[in-house]
Amino acid sequence: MRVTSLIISLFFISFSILIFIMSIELGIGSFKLPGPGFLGFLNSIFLFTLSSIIFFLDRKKADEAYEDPITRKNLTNPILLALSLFGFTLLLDILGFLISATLLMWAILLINTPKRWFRQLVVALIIVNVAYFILCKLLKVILPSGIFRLQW
Amino acid sequence: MQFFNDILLGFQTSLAPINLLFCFIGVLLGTLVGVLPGLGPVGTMAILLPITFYAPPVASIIMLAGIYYGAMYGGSTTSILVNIPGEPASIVTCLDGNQMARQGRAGPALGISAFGSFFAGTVGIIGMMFITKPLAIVALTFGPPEYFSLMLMGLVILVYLTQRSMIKAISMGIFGFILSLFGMDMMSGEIRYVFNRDELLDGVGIIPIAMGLFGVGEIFINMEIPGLRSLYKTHVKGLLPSLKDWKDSALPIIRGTVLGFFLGVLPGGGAALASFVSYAVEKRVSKHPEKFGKGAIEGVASPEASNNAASTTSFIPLLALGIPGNVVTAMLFAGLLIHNITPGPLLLRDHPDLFWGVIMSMYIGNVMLIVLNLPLIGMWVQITKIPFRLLAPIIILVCIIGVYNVNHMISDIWLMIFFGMAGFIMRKFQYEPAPLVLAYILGPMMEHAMVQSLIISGGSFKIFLVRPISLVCLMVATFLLITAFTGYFKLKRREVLTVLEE
Repeated sequence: MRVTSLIISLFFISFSILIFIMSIELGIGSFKLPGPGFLGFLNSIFLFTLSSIIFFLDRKKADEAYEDPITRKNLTNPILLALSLFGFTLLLDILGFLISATLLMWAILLINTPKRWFRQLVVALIIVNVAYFILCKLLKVILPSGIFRLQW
Repeated sequence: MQFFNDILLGFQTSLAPINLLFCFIGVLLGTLVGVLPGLGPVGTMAILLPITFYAPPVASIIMLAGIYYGAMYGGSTTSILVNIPGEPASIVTCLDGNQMARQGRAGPALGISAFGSFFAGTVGIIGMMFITKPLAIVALTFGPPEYFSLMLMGLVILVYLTQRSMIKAISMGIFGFILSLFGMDMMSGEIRYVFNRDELLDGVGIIPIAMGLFGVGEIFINMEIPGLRSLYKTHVKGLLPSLKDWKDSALPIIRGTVLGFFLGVLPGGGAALASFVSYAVEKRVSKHPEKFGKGAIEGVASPEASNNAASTTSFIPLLALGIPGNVVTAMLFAGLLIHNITPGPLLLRDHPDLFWGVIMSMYIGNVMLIVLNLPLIGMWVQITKIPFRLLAPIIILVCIIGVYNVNHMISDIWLMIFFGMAGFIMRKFQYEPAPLVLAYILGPMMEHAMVQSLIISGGSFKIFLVRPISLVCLMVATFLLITAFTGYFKLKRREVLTVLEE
């Protein structure tokens, strides 16, 4: 089944309906004096039409021989990466850049090579601290220091 | 006389130490990302956009432009030696370039690629010097209807040339357009489509979108099946092509240059399209088409010349009309807007140093690239050996810091992750991200031009049809859309795109 493909079309259909409603609330205006919702209104209709066509075309193809571009095997690493990024973003304000970025780098290195965890941790520490030195010390970029106020 | 003064101003600007440094950084980074498969010039430009906040505008644009044409040079190295294109414009170079390397002729392949690129790049710049200014003067007569129709035509051409599903490409364009409407309406001052989120009051920024789709998205794709890259062991020696090689390549280089020149100017065109078309043309005009794909030097010379000419001339619509023709120039457009500079016909009057400085920096950049790519080829070969498992975390880190540093808002990181995942899923399901980004960039200008046109005409859409330039643009756009969806042409388009994809 083209489940993922259908979900994408449904996302765009829902999105276009939402924009359609919001555009009407904003005010479409007239051709003489278009309102702030004018182009959103037009585009939501176009997007709704096209997404519906894609949805029905995909449904038609559902029974045919079809190779899903996303399989469990090739999706493992991207999912782990996404989870690591979510975790990092949630922790960034709390733990600060140095700790959360080290954890993120470590996680990404482990996703690619799930062995030698200590070596990967050292590599992560080096990457983050070199980046911190260049950006924060040399270029004066401000990054969150977290509740521990950890910075050098 | 004015022309020579302009050239002098250009050289004066581009030879300033800071601009020379940024030009060098640009071409160096461009060659690097061209050599390293996984992150193309668009991703790199997106990542570096926030950094340009801190640099002078001329230097920033010189660097961003250098990344683009530098990637064209670097891309050929991996295509020839590793059989993996560093960026889309180098895909066809793999066909004959890698075969030449396998026959022990990696040196001449790299040599002709670099010399052909240099020649085409230089011709492109000369053409640009002569065309851009007159075009900008003509563009001063354009009104909102002409601008709207031109931008619409550019988007339609980009969508038409998409190698995947056209209907999905159009949807992406519309989605990008809608995203560009988020935030404050500049005409009425109303806040729209913000979903009660304060973070969206200024709209969805181009940086999280571009970094997500082209930076983080690429990492997602490459993380899927890591460790596929392997270097074909070959000795690179004798970079100077033989007399026979020169004889065989001279005409293909000229043909590639001419084709690339015109395809680069075309809205929606660009380096990738130019290299595909020039390879197809070369194969067709050759007396020995059977040699193509088996190590024909013409199959390297022509596409490489073509993609360099096109990467240079694709700046013409941006600088003269203020309309980015493809996603790379859209990133440059964003770079200019960051510095409150609006590209277009008035750029020449308001910022002549930037206009001529960028053009002249390309001359200098091309010379730098020849030096970087030929004597230092050994270094680039070594760089292709850097494992992706080390590059991925570094790229992610740079993206995170870059996107956070713009507004110091964690919501921008969330947006970038969202668009990164969206970029991954979109590529998997044949939704192309390029129309989204281009439509996002063009969206506010198109809205402005359309609303102004309607107000001028008292609500009549006829205004787009009674102006000759606008009418021609709309006719071209309509013709392309009709042919793409109708029987014979649909079949032909699909045949051509399949051949190109193969």
